[in-house]
Amino acid sequence: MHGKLRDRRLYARCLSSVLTLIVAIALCYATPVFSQESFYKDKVIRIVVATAAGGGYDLYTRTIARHLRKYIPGEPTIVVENMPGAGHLIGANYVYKVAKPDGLTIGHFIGSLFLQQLLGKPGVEFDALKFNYIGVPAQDNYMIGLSKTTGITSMEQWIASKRIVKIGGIGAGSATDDIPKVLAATIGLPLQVVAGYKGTSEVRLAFNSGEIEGICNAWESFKSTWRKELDDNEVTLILQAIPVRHREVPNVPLAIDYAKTDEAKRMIRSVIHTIAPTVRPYVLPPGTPKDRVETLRGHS
Amino acid sequence: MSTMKDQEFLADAAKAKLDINPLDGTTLETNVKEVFKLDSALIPRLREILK
Repeated sequence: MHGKLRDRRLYARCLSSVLTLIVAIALCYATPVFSQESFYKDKVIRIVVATAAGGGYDLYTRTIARHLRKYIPGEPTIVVENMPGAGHLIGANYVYKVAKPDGLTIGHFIGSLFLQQLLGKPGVEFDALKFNYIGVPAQDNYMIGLSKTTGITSMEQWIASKRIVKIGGIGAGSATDDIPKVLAATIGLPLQVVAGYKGTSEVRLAFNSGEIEGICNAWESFKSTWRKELDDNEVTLILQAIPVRHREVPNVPLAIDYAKTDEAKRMIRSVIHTIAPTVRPYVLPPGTPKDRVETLRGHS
Repeated sequence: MSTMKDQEFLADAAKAKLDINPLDGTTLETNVKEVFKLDSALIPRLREILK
């Protein structure tokens, strides 16, 4: 009789220990979700776009911002803030140095600034290797388009031309500036980059007023924000600064095919062709708690 | 990456003529590290070109 009672008590004690362990394990796994939900509930996530409203960076961000909320536990409000200037540097530096690393500020700027850090560009106040990366929505395919006022409709015409074409730029470190400069140096395109515009939306205004006659821009942005100029044949795509011709514009030649020396080819491959996969990064400041980085990586 | 697969987001992006061809954060981080592996022999010439 006593033996059976002892067995029952032992059994009950074991069962209780096992249940405690199960609850503890369950709580361990559940806590991150609950803590993220309680953290983001009633909060505002600000996405700082380092360029003016109306360009491709702004458009991608505003489109993402309309849908991101529902995927973040706690459904925070998402707002977009434009912080243009110095070829995206003001916004990039802000996210690195000033923004609190609390998972409530996301930065978006042009990824070609990473190369500028490597080259020691003055004004770069971030270390790209310390940002927390959320991802990119698209890998850009850069192309150069020229105004019909130039009379240039092909690479052969452009290379042979004595006319220096003014290309609208945002600043050193932006693909709008860096790609044309590398192409001028490697394949001899007669061009001058006119920098200082606050975004491709401003470049477009300058293009339409005749202030500049060309732009290096992503095909993705041409299609969305330069649609009218394309449809009206005001802009003609002259070359593609990517490794393989884009299927949507198969007749536009590749820049690399006009490189004559090994150095020119290496320069185009290692500088221009590596821009595309990193050019539209969404980042979090260094020091952002890992669980919030993972939450935003998973759901953006 | 959930938003990048959201059908309403993709429809919204298509309406705005935005291509969606995403990379996740881990891949992006790897690609950024690749930028910093640039052949050092090209750096002086690049500094001159991109100044």
